[in-house]
Amino acid sequence: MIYLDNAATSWPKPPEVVQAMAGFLERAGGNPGRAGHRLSIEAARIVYDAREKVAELFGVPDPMRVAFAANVTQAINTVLCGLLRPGDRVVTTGIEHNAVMRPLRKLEREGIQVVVVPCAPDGRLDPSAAERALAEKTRLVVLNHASNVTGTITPIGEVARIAHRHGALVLVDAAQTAGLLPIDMSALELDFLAFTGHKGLYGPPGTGGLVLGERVDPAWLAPLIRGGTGSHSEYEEQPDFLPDKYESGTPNGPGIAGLGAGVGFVLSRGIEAIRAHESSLTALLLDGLAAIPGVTVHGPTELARRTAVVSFTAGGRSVSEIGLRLDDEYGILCRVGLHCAPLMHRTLGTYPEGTVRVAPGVFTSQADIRAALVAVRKVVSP
Amino acid sequence: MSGFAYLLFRNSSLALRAEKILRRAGIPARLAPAPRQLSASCSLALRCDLDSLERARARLTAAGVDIAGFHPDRT
Repeated sequence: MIYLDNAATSWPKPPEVVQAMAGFLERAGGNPGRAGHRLSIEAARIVYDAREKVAELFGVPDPMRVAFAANVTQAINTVLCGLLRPGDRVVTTGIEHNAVMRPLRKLEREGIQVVVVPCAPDGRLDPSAAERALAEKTRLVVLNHASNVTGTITPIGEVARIAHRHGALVLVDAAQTAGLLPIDMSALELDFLAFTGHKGLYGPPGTGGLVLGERVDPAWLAPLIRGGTGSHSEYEEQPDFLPDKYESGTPNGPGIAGLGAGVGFVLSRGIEAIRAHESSLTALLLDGLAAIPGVTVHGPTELARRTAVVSFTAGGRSVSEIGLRLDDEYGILCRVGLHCAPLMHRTLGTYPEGTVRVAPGVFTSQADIRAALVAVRKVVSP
Repeated sequence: MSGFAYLLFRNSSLALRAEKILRRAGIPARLAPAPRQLSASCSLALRCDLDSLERARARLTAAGVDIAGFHPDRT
């Protein structure tokens, strides 16, 4: 079996991730921050250590600015629903995932103006187009750091500078890039970073979070849910401090333990080394797919402008049939269809059929890619 | 509580951060439930020797850790 669906969730996980999760349940099973006994303290320590590691990864001096969430979608919803008010204007791009578009379309019905900056057919965002969209007063720019369909990378630093010049805040959806591309929130001047734990950070599903930039005042941002935090228990009002304001309810302790180990794996292996490995696989994939008659690869061809997420179509061939045959006949696991990103497929011109998406990860080898290319050639041949 | 001092924080994350900072500075302190008469919160507190309180406070303040309260308070 060759797993090429790392854009959906990375697999396998590093052994230390599995061990950290089991260790949490076996040796630190208390409720973090809810009691003063040793099992609760040990659990709280594991959660705090993970918070520090995430802060280190994203160049955040204060770990309290990392609020864990169930996934990147919850983090994005926290910002969109907690910050925007009727009458506000929000600018986004043509490569967004439904994690952004669905809350935005709901907010649009409540009186928030949503402006989508179109992207080129390969998903490329022209920063000057973003600047033109910011001519009117805008509260927030929300943009995908890299497409989950084509891997196209967005120039987030450049867009953030433009947005700030126009008085707008910036939210980056790093679902596809956390752990793969360097993200220094201070250097890039990002206000909000939403990340998932189970893709490039190699943690388990059910983990992710929101990082608040240094200049963001938590007073601007209402929490999505409210409840027990283990702090200020004498008050019936939600705490206004970080990270408690955004972390109501018992956290996913085993998940966060795994996330901390996953981030540790990324930090010790090094983002540059991971990126170099995945880029070499991408080069092999792009060259190999381009050489197969009838196959069209979507997205940028230059490695510097893309991640390892590669989408292709094969003339009028059904992508679901291709996916099924790759799995059944060759044990190659990829994802076909719209990838929860209909807007991006409209940008690409692949709506509504979608594409076949191949997404290698850190544990994918060159031999895996070569085997996948042989299989694709056989499956799409007439 | 004689012989011990308590440092209080607004949440457990800060108490854990403070514990790490004090450990690195060689100031012995342990996490413990915040005494009910000092805090109505269910958060953790840091307990240290009375003699270490001023050193601990100075170290944490220098590191930018917000101390919500301490006991005994002789200021």
